[in-house]
Amino acid sequence: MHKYRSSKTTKCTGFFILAIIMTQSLLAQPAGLADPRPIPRLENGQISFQVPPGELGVWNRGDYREIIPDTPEQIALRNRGRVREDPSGLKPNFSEVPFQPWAEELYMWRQEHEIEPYGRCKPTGGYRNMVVPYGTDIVQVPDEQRMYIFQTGGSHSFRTIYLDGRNHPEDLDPSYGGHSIGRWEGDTLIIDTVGFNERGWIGAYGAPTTKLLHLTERIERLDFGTFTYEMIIDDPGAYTETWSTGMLMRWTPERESFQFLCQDNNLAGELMVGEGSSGMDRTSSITP
Amino acid sequence: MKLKVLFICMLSWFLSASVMAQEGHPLAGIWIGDWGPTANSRNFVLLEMSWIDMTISGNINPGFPDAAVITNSELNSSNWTVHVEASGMDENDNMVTTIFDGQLEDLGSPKRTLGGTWRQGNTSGDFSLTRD
Repeated sequence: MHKYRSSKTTKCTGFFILAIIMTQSLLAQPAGLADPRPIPRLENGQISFQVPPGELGVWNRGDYREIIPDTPEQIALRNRGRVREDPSGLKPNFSEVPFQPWAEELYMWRQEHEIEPYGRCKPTGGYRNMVVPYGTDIVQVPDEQRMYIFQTGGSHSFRTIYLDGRNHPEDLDPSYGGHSIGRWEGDTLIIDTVGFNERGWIGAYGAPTTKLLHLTERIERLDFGTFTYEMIIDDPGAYTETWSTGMLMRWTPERESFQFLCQDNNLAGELMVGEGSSGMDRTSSITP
Repeated sequence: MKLKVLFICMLSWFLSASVMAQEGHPLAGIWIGDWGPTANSRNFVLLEMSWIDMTISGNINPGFPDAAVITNSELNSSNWTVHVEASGMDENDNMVTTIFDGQLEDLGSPKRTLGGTWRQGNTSGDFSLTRD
């Protein structure tokens, strides 16, 4: 056994380590360097979340989770054993979520039985309206005092957020996305939503909600390429207290939303029935 | 009997259009099925349950002579078992108590099921309900 390496070996090792360091530093960069441009604004001075004129781009989610697992058992379920950091710092740990007992058990049940309505092409609201494959498109129409959030992957649906100062209707028909009204607090957009129909999940991991859900979303653009999305959940039907979660949304240039029709060619059949590659039990019968 | 079945179906359609809960509280919604002491002696059941103020409330066969109001209920979410007590009146205006204990199955399905034992007055049997 050699105590010291030869000079040739040392030199090779040095080059190898240097190569790793350089490669890692390059890989550590995002797909594109952080865009140094200032946060864009609309003509009326409000923060813009739209695609800049003449450019392509969509917003992409940080990650799908609304709750971070506490225990190895929880990690082993939907996270498939992976432990991931939360760069937003907005997500609560499982033990911090004030579940009612039935809601906690149902949430855990859903970690093992991955039969999310979204995978069955159902429209979504709240967090799940943002965390979709292929990006989210936000369109602001100041003349009409409203904005639209279009999801690419999923049920080809969108949400309307009214910014004209109206209140929620008193006689509201419940819907998948609820009724949303928005206002600006400085440069932070606040979206207030009620009227959910209990037929969808507000997040991909299945935190239960009821028709009492009152959702507040806070959207704040940090720089050209990032905004924070925070969701405050007030639902006395499923939780004992208000709680919140969130994520960072990243600007992905050179991408464009496209006509994704989940209903037309649903490739998520393996997510709904059978065990799939993850070994999860998805054998419950469902109605697409 | 056929008229009653038809009426139950129509009532179910009407109620389900207004309730439509699928992914909220697992018991909320309209449940349809039957109960009876034997396989050949069955009684149609339309069960409507809501989750309001941390309580499961509702009615059995609302609008029918054997209607009953849920007076006590409990969901054990650790094993998804359900205990429900309800009170109604018979044709002689005597109070009739219904008690059923069931197991919730197929939790993730909008068509989840509830089955177990059912006692109505002095008659006992089993029941099977499917969420509509």
